[in-house]
Amino acid sequence: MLRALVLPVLLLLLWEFVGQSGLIQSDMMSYPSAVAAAGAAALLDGSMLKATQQTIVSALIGLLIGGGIGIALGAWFGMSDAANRLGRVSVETVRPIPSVALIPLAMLVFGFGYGMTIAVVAFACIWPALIITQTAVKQVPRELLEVARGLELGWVRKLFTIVLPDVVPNLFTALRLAAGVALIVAVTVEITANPQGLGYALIVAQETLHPDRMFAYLIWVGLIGWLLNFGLLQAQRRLFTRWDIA
Amino acid sequence: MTARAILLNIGSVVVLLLFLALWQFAAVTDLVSRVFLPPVTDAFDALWRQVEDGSLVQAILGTTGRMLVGFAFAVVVGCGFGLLIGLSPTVRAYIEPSLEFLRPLPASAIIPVAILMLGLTKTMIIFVIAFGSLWPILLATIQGVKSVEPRLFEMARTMELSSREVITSIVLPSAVPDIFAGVRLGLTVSLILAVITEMMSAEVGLGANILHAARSFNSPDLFAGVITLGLLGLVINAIMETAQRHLTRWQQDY
Amino acid sequence: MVQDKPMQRATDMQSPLLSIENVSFSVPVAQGKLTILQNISLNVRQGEFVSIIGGSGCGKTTLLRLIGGLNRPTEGRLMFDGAPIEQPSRRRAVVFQDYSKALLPWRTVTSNVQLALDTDPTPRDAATKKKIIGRLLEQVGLAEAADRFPRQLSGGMQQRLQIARCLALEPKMLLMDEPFGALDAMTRQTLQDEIAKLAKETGMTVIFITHDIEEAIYLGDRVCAMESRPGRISAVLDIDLKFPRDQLTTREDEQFLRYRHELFQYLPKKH
Repeated sequence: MLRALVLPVLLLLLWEFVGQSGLIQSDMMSYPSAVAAAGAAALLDGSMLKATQQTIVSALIGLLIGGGIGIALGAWFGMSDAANRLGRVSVETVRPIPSVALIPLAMLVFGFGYGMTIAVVAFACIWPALIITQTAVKQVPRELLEVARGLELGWVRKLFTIVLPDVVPNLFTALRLAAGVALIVAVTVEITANPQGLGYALIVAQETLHPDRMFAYLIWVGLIGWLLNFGLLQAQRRLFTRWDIA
Repeated sequence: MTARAILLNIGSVVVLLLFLALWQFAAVTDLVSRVFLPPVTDAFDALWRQVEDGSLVQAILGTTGRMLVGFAFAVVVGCGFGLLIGLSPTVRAYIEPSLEFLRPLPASAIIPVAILMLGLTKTMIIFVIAFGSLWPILLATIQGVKSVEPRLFEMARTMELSSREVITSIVLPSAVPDIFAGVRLGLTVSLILAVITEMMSAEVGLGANILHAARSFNSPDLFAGVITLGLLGLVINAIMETAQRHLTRWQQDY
Repeated sequence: MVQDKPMQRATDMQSPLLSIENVSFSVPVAQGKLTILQNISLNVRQGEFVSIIGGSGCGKTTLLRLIGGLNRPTEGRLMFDGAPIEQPSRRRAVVFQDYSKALLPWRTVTSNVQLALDTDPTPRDAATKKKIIGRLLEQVGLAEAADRFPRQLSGGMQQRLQIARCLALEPKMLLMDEPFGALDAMTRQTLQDEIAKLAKETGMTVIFITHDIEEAIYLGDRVCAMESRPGRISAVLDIDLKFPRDQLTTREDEQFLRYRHELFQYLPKKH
């Protein structure tokens, strides 16, 4: 455990020393204690929390829309071979478009604000959700599906009583991966074009030559990403170990 | 192929054409404003014009050129360090937790730092692409190298293989599937970063083109650019998939 | 005038190829140490086929690893061909039980055997290597599968491939760790006959670990029975059955059944 801390602590000390000593005279130089002070200031005056809220809200709504579409399409394609084959060319045509290519379009349609980020995030979240759900649904044991046929269930009841319960752990994985994507894309849209949220705060700090605040935001973004990932992983372990063992 | 499969394949193309027709209909009837959605025909006209005047080729070369240079750095550094870190449990104990902490950091968040240090230059772009696509490659290489079947190392000892032979004949080939998965992810990241860095700088490229088109409300050019990026993604994917299938042939069960 | 005689060569018929001298092996555990092998002594002559049987956890695999040089004994010493065993050697090839893990899955059958030749200090040109590989694959019955990958082979074929790769090392001794334990009964019998034939043809010394009494007798010139906790040798039996042995007649031989009966006494009973 201790060894894990050696590298970060050493780097921080070195950074602090070089920054404080004035060995490098530059507008872009900062050091950990200044970064911490800038971070604390941004937290206290509420600007950091406001930016965080903007980013998280965009990421979350985008995730719900994109993840929902992805899971729905994935379940449909997984259950119906015909639907899967008929949709294949369309999906394979749209999927390779890098989500960031849609930033200018989203800007044109929604203007600056939440809508723009949400749209790009939603597009990006569709694909991991779709692929994982489709794979999971396809792997629902044949026996279970035969039970469904034996009970003469309609496809809606088959979906809700047989298929979905079986794939819940996989859906959570899909959600977890999509959540990571959502945060990354949201910050990226804000950095590139949208004047709100954490990404924009990073850019403003850079443009106004405030490296301490910029690094504070960078570390903050990293922390949120890490917490999100860690939290969802823990939640998944808690919730679904029962499934995995059985 | 069965008759059903052929029918479904044809149907699949028909579905795409139906979507395009819907798009065309919505645009032509002004159901959706033409400011946002140009008729399909206009988008492809714009694409063709860009092909004819050579600007498309120039943009593609600009984007892919920077992307590949940055990506190449990432592959060399990522595989090299991944091998070093992966081979030594001691080094791993010191470095891996820090890497795990950095993993979820959005690659784009490094852009402001890079701009501050390097300005809006080509060097900055290549640095960002290299740095961003480095992580998936590095982490995947470490993963691949550390998960070599331990029995193979014993087998190597009984055959008196040298350390170099162990690395070239056992560790690297065994890690290839993991490394390649990382490389694929890295390439995707590098395309994304190439597009957004040129949106933010003045370099000629596909990303800059579509941003410019959006700013001047030129939706046909915007869609032409998005289509091009989609095709580029498709081509990259196809190449990587073929390479992957070839490299991991031995994992197939027949 | 003793010194006039040239020093006796270790490979002479009289002196053993392998001698295990008072070997013990223990590992540190929470409270003190756990003794896995205790006071093992055994001599193996050149060309001999020695089977070692024992229940699970009796340390027979550990003993094989000590002979292979993969582990060092905590007490005593092992001598091979006149020199102490300190590390693994190409002259003592090891056939691991888990064949699927010991093969290189990304190399074809040919290429797996080639690994043994490519890393051989003796330089050979490509044509010679190809010829050797062809002969070895023929010998173990894999000529047809030369271009396939390990995952595309049955368990028995994978184990044959491992044996071929070991033979390519041209070892003096073949160490086999329950090599047929994971195979079905039919395949196992076929492979037993093949390994017996190979051993006779090449004159190679074989140490064969198994938990199957009949397999031990059927293959061995000598059978060594081991007891558990701590692992030690409880009996050594010379097997006097004529060669070539036969799956049907040898196994019905009265002498064979007597050996079986006798060895059974020395093995720990199932709980």
